[in-house]
Amino acid sequence: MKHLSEETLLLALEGAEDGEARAHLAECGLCRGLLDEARQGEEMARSSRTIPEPSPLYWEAFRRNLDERIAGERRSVFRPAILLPALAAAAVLVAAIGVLGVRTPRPTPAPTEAHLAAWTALPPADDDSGLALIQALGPSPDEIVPAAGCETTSECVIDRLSEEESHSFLERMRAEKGGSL
Amino acid sequence: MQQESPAPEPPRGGDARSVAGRSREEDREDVRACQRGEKEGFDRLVGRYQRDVYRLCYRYVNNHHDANDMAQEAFLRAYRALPGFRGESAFSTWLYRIAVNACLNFRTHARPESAELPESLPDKRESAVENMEKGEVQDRIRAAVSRLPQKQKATLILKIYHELTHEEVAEILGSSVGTVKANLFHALGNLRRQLVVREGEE
Repeated sequence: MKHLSEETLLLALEGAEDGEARAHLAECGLCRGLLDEARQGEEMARSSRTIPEPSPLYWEAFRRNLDERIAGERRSVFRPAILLPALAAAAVLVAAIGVLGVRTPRPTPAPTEAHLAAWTALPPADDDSGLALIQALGPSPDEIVPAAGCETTSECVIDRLSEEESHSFLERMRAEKGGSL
Repeated sequence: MQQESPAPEPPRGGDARSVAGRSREEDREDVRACQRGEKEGFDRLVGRYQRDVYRLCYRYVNNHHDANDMAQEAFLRAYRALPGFRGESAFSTWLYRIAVNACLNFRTHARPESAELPESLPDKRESAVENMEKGEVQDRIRAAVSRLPQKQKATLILKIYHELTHEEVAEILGSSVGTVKANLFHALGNLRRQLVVREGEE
């Protein structure tokens, strides 16, 4: 047998149960017992109708205390001793922002001169101004034995530079030429 | 000891009139006044609801000092929150909700001495013994109510003593109407069991 829910039992307590619930209560001792308990509980609760009532003087004191607490809260929020330093700090902050400006991150400008890969940095051999420098700085052609497969020494020296070496070489050339390369 | 006076008898034996009986228009005007910064509006609201809030708190803890602190706390919270009150529910419902929350969050302080307010003035038509017995029974019932589980207690107090509707109680407690009914049914059964068991113990 399915018993009545508390909600339905409360409706029965209030005299608002439907016929189905009424029929169930007529048959089910458990639900009837719960309902009787609740009914007695309600009678007990309602029999305690009063609480000790404070005097009119109490209510005056109640409002006075409440007013004091509210006034205290207002003072703590708006008290000049707290408000003035806060305003001063805000003024300093505003001034600092005005003087220094707000530093917002700016997009990094695109480099005016693209960083060339080492192999593209080498100018064409025909008007290679760096070759003279290489020749001046490097060992004399007599000191260099052309590598196997190289027809000229200078060609082989350049060809055999690693990317890192050729990059550093280009930087040096730029420095020498005052960045005109 | 403070002079005691009997609490007024509401129609069905509760502590307060129904929310529906409130002058909602008066409340709205006072709320608006308060929101304009007129403290007098709040004073009028306090004057109108102080007894209800105090009684709710008293039923919760069954002692005057804690009830006083809780009621003060409830009104203070209401004052802080009033600028944000948009009138979506009745002011009284909103205030009850704040008061119930103040009750739920309140931690009872140990009191150095009991300074309970006395019971209501004795009815001269009844004998002293009858009054004493009646007073003891009422004490026991109030104590039993204050010992109920939180939600059951809040539901029973609002429904039985403040005579709110199930819907109003549901709005205050943030529950469904079905849950309110179930909690009330449990509360009444538990109250009866508590009192019968304690009588049996004595």
